[in-house]
Amino acid sequence: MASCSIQTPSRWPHDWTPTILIIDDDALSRRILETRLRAMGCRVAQAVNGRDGLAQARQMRPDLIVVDWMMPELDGPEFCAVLKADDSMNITYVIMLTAKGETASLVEAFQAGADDYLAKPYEPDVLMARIAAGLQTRALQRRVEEMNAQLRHVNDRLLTHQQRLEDDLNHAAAFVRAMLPTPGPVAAGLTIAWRFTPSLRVGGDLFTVQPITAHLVGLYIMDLSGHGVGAALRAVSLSTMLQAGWRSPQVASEAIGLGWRTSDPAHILSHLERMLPAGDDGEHVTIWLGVWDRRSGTVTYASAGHPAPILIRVDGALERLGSPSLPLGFWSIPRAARNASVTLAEGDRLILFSDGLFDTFNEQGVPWGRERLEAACVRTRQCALDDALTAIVQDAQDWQQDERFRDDMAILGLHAERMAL
Amino acid sequence: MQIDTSTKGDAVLVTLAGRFEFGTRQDYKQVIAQIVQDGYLRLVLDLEQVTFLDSSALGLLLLTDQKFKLKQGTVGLVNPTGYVRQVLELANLPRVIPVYDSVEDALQASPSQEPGLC
Repeated sequence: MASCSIQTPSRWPHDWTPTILIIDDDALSRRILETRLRAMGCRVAQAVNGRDGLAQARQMRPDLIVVDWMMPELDGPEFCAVLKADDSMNITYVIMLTAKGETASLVEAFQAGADDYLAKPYEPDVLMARIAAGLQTRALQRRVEEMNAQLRHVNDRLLTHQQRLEDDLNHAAAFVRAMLPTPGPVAAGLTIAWRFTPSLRVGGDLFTVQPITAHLVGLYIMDLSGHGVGAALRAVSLSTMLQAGWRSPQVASEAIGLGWRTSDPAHILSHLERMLPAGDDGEHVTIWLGVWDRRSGTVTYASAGHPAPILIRVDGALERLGSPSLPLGFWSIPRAARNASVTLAEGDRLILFSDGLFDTFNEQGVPWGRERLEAACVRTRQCALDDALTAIVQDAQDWQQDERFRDDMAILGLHAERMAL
Repeated sequence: MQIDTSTKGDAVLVTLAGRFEFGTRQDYKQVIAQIVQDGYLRLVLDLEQVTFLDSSALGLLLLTDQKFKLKQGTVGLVNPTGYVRQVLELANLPRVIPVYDSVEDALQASPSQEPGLC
């Protein structure tokens, strides 16, 4: 036999011992091939015919199969056809050997699903080279399989992680919603309704209407710049502080050192300012805060940079509650700690909102704007409060041609039910 | 958002174009941090080509102004248009940071010229 000139270096990973199944009814052929393959560093099994070959293939899952054409009990093409029809084994690399040596049999071999074909008599070195090439293909396949498995693993972990984040966000969103006031009568003579849609799961808009004493109701609406969890956390902590202050002025005074004056909005805002400097990204808060006294119907309020709420008188007259002011958090802004006040009469309606409601654009890039919002508030003044809010929000949605608001959106309506006693 | 920087004597002119919002804050912050680090005390922000400005951007403008004031420096805004001018005015920003009609006006403004308090 001619000396070996074709090298068969192991071009597959060192930690991989390829397994090869030889299926041939000729014992001598099998033995010669096995010896050479073992020398190459392969694990080798033998089968004496196609049926035996299938049984062994199912058990050992070889990387490569060398199968003879002519065999009793399932010949080469039949073996191939069964193997390739099995999803769990159809990627096994199959080299078919044949003594026929005709073009027709080559086609037949490939049609049966063989990956390679060699006619007998063959040069052993050529078969070894073909096997080495087949194993290299198999090695690549293995790498792809490994990478797939890794990707699946990473993907599973990401999905798990994502799910956990989703759960967290849902909890956070539920927590934020729990801080919002219950719609309906909030105190004798005052009914509220609201709509609230963060642009992400949670956001920086927050508001409340909260009875403080038998006669006083505190209310605010705030907008923390930015979106998402960061803004929500700041909004929640600020809200917690304010609500605690109104729930228990004594405790708030001592714990926070605010020198809390329950019904002095300007005073409260000036204290908040000191506690909430703007962040590195310019994060800040705009807030409108008021206290309603049911005895007089008077709302005393102060604002820091928040869009002025709209007061719609029962006769349709409209007032803006607040002169332009700047947000909290910047020492460079001169702030006059002054309260303003307005008196609500029976049938008057107060609408508070965040800029996400009116700073929304149509296809031409035109903002819906305050004027359209104000017109919508006036137009809906005779609807029930809840229906009015639905209509106002619908107007904004129609304008932007999208149900979803780009920014956090909040609107809070208060309706003075009857004259204060 | 596109940001171009050039020096005009002892001032730095920063020309912004496009959407100035939460998503573009890092680029803006980097440019401003560099100008502050270089020791400039006069900053002119040309807003003429800014098409959109959100509350994050508003906060960043106030923060920038604050940084310069801390060193007795000044910040001026130039020619905001349309929606951006409306947002700035609604937020009452011109009360804190002066707004000029042109880059020349902003550059000629005396460094000590402060917006009136009210």
